[in-house]
Amino acid sequence: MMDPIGWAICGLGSVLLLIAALGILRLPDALARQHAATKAVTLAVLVFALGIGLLARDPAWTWRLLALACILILTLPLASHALARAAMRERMQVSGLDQIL
Amino acid sequence: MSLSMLFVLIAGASALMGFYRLLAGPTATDRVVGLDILFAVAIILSLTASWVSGRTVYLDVAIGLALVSSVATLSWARLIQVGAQGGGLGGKQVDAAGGGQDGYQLRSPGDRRGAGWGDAKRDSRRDTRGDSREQSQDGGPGDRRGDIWGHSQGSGQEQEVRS
Repeated sequence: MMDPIGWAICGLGSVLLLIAALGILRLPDALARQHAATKAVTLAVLVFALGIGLLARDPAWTWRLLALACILILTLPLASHALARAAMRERMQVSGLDQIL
Repeated sequence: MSLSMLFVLIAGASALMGFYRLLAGPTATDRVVGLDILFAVAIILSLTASWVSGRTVYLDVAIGLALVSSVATLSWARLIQVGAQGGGLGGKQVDAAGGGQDGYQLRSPGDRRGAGWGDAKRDSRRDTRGDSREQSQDGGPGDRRGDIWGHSQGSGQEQEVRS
């Protein structure tokens, strides 16, 4: 009974991953690409983990998926922040703004 | 099973786009973004593998991939940022001999603190290297050697003036 819901949520996660990859391919700037990469990819992996957890209703799977979700939520904003700052710094250097500011 | 195959195909398409961004990114940050999405594709593929094979070992692989991905992205971003500040690794090189120093000098103290390596560490490095730099002063404008933290060799003078 839960299987179609699980498959649908997994499909939603993979479609989100595809949208994130399209954003990385198509967006014009490093900052915008980083935005697409970190936020949409985090959501995609979390939704996919939720779908797998609904497919396999087993405590061994559920706890591991919860650990994966906790690690993603705790660490991906850090990496995203550092990446955004590096992108901003690099854009300032390319445009010569760091000679002024 | 066919739905899992669909997931694998979608993840493969995303991995192709990530590889394109990794290979053809104009700046170094774009390459790190491509690496990030490749890690995400690997996590989703290992989740799919765990469901297809019915083993929980691949979930542990996914947890390890998540940890390694965050650490890798953080360290690469920090390296790019420090390189862009002092002019060392990656990005556009400042070709004039004093260009990078001027950009480094005119930065506000808040920005300089944002480098993240810690000001105390930088101060200690500056102090220990003062004497050897004074002796090799006549290197001329061609002497643009920098350490791996991205600070050019000749920028010690302005730092001493500022501090």
